[in-house]
This record gives sequence, structure tokens and C-alpha cells, in this order.
Amino acid sequence: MSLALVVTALLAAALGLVWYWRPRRALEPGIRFLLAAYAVLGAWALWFGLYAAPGHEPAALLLVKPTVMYWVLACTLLVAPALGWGYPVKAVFGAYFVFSSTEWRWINRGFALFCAVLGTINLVLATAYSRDDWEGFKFSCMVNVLAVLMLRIVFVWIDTLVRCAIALYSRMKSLLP
Amino acid sequence: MGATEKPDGPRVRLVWPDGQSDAAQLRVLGKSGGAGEVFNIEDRPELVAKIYHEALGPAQLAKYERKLHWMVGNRPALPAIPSQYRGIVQLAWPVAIVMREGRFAGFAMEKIDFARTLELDYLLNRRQAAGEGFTVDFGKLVTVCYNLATLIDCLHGRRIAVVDLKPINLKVYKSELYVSILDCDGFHIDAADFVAEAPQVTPEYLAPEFHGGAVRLPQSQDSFALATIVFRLLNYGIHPYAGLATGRQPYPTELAGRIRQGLYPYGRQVMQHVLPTPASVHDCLPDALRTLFDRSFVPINGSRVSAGEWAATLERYAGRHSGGMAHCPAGHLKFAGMDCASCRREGILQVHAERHRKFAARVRATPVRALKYVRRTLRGTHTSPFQAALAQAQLNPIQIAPVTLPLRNVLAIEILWALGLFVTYWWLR
Repeated sequence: MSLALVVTALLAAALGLVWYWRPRRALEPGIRFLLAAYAVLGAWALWFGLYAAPGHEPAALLLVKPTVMYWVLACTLLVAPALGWGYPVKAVFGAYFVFSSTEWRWINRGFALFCAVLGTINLVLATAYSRDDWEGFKFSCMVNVLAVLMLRIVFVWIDTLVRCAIALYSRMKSLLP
Repeated sequence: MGATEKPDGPRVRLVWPDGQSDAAQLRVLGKSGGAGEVFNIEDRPELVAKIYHEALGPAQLAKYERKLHWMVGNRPALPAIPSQYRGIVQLAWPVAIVMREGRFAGFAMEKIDFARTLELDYLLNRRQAAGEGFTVDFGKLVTVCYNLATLIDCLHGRRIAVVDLKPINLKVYKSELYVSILDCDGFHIDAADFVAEAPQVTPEYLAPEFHGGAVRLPQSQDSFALATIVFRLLNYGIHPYAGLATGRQPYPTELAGRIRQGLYPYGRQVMQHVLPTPASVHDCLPDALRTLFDRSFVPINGSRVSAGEWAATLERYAGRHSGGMAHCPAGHLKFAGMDCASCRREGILQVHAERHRKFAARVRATPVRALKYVRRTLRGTHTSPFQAALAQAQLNPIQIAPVTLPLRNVLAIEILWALGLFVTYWWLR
């Protein structure tokens, strides 16, 4: 079995599990919108990352890929509240944080602006500067992703892991004589 | 050959001090040291023979031969032992020269009955001593110290010094408490008609002034080693230079370095940068002994307490009817007029055991407590006001709402989030 099929199978299993365990309540339209955008981006990533032969991905896209990512995020974050679909930034940082609606609005706007600026800088660097400059910027942007991940780990995942551990412990305890 | 019969050793001649000699068959004993091997002597159960390894050079063997000829003819007078105690050997002193094929090979000495004795090293650890069938108390320890000091004093009276005086070279008779010194062929001799050096030393028992140089004053070295052994015996095996550094000044990790720098923290003059080991009971020792320790480890004008002075002071406590010892309410033998060292030690160990128990319990409970703490912090449900305040202070800028979703829903969301992160990474990389 090829790597692509294994990854696809794992991905399908993960999505199946997500579907099976999904909260049985309506999602905010803004978050659904974000999910749809990510589904498209993810499908693209899956196809060109695993299935398409190397070099088949449009060469012109290579330099603007981060811009596409940032601008899609920025558009989603800006359009959704304008249409009254809520604040998609909640899905990025975690809906467990206690912020007022106004605070969420500003966080959403701030994050959208941040993404838009980063996308623009990437475009400028990709077209007007050297490849090294562009790559330097691109990798420095990974720190942002890491920061979001750390935020999620500290404030959401640790608690989730604790709950998992407690649940497992309780389950094991009940199984023991 | 029978199963228990030892194999044959070499056939030798024993040359006695009066010049007479006897043929003897040696039997392998299975004890070998750095310089030679010890054998039983057939038909002479009271003696053993030490045969030097052939690897020793001729010059070294010649030195040993001269020394042993002198020793065989000059046995020192030793402290008198009451007649009811039989078969006690205080010194493994050479009694005959051993010749093999007409050449010097070693010497014969009185045999120390290992069944009746134990290494003095064992007395430094009461549990170890108990394992050898010896119950330690301060009365016995002081008596052992006194007997050792007396023995050393006798040797010093003949201008003989042990130099490499250390617990593993000493044997103690379990019932009679007399001490035997092994390895007499390594002694320093400074007699009118003969001089022999003692090159062997052990850094943990070597006086500071002889570190990095020759032992110029062997008797002073013995006094230092004797004081160290007495201190260890009376202080539960704690070495007088074992301590705890408090300041930022460098503190040598090995005892030899601490001895060299004179870092003795048990004196009556408090040392600023080094504290005594917490388990020490040195302050339960009488002033007379503490003064001797101070003078031994911090000598005034380079003059150290002699073995004779040690013997004279220890004699006050050694005898059963000396009055220097008394029983504490718990039944331990202690120095009269002083706090009971045994009770003090038990208290220290009890506190330590209690601390250890609490620590172990805390360690065992740590994962569960950590999980609880993290969970309560995240949910803001601390019951302890202090912890609640702490948690609030730590997480005040960002507050988390209690997660009300079932765990499986949360997991579904987080899996989806992680997939989203992978997609983001792919687009940004």
C-alpha cells in the first residue's frame, strides 16, 4: 500500500471519528464557512502533496501559497461577521476562552488584519525580493503557527488530556475486581 | 584429597629468632593482598605465613628481609591482657622468617582468629555490626577506642608507627573488645639500631600536612588517624571531615581535599562555610573528648594529641565501673552528664524517616495531584483559597470557561483543529 493511501486512510478514519463524535448542535455559520475553506485547501494539499506527480502543482503558485493561505483566512474572518455568521477566530484559538462579544470581534478583526498583512508581505517578498528573503520570511511565519499551537496546547489540550487520563483511569478502575 | 582439604602450598623453612629452624608445609588459605599471599602452616594452627609475591623486585624483597629480621628479634611489649582472655593477638607481629629454597620468602605471624573478630570497619555501621553478631553500644565503642589507643601508645613507646592506620587494617575481638592490627610489615620503625620507612598511606586518614609529601612525623600521622577512627566510632561512622558546605566557597568533593584544607566542621569553634552533617551526634560527646578532637584536627603549634593522651582520657569512660558512662531513661549507654547520643540519633533518624515517608507519599501522589491542580486551574475550581488566588493570578489575563461538552465531542473538535493545523502548515511551508 502506498504512503498516499495510508495517509488518506488515516485521514478518512480521523474524519470518520470526528463525524461520529461531533457535537450534536448547530455550528456557527462562520465556523462552517471556515471549515469549508479548509476543506478546499486540505483537498488541494492532499492531492498535490500525495497524489499528483512532482511538478504538477502550478509553479506560479509555489511562491504565493502562503499568501493564498493568509488571504483565505483573512477573507473568511472578515466576511463571516459581516454576514452575521459569527466570529471564525473562535475556532482558531478555541471557543473556551471567556471573552465578550466585543472582545471576540476585535480579536477576529485583529487576526484578520494580521493574516492580510502577512499575506501581502509574502506577495511583496515573493515578487520583489530574493528567494532567500522570501524563504526567510516564510519560515519565520512558522513561529506564528507554533504560537497558536502552544496556545491551544496550554489552554485546551492539557485539560483534554487530563480528562482523557481521568476517564481511562476510571474505566480501568471499574474493570478491575 | 578430601573435599575440605586445602591444596598444598610451598614447602618452606621457618627461621626462629634464636636461629633455630624448622621445615614446614604451607597450605593455601585463599587470602592474597597487594604484597603477598597468606598461608596456613601445617601442624602449627596458631601461626600463618605471609609469602611475598615473586613480582616484587629483589630490592623490595631485600628491604622487607632487613625489616623483618629486625622485627622478629624486637617484638614490642603490648598492653597486658587479663589471663582469662586466651588467644588474643593484638599485633600480627612477625615471629619467624620464612625461607624457601634457601632464600627469603616472607614471614610467619600469629594467627588472628577471624571467627572471634570482626573488622573495625563494621563498627562504623551498627546494622552491619549486628549482622556480624555484634551489638554496638557506646560503652563497647569507647572500650575499643581505649584499647586501640593503648596499643598505638605501646608501639609509639618503641618508636614504631603504623602510619597506614585505618579501620580495614584493624580487627576487633567481638567478646573481649581488644583490637588487632594487621599488616605489621608495613610499619614505620625508627629504632636506635634500625630505620624502616612506611610508604603506604590512605588519603582519608592522612594528616593534612602530609598530603602531597612524605610522612615526616609518623607518630603524629598515627595520632591523626587514631583521632579520625575514634571520631568515626563515636559518631556513627561520620568522618570528621564530612560536612555540608553553606557558602559559595568551593568545597572539595573528596575527603582528602577537605582534610588538606582543614575543613573540620565539628569543632567547638563553629566553622563559617561548612556545617556538620545533620545526623552527627558530636555534641553529645563530653568536653574532654571534644577538646582532644579539636586538638587533633586543628593542632595548636603543630602539636597533635598523642595516643597516650587519648588512652588516658578514654580510660575515664572505658571501664564498666569508671563512672564515665551512665544509662539514659531509654536504657542506652551514654556519656555521663551528656545528652544520650543514641536517643539523639534515633530522633534524627525518625525525623528523617518521617520526612522520607512524606516525600515518598508526595512523590507517589504527585501525578494525581498535578492532574487535579491543572484541571482545577483550567476550570477555576480550586477549593484552597491560596491555590485559587494563585491560579487566578497566573491565568488572570486569559480565562477559560469550564468545558461542558462531553469528552468525545471535545476530542472530535481537537482532531479537526489538528487537521486544520496540518493544512495550514502545508500551505505555509
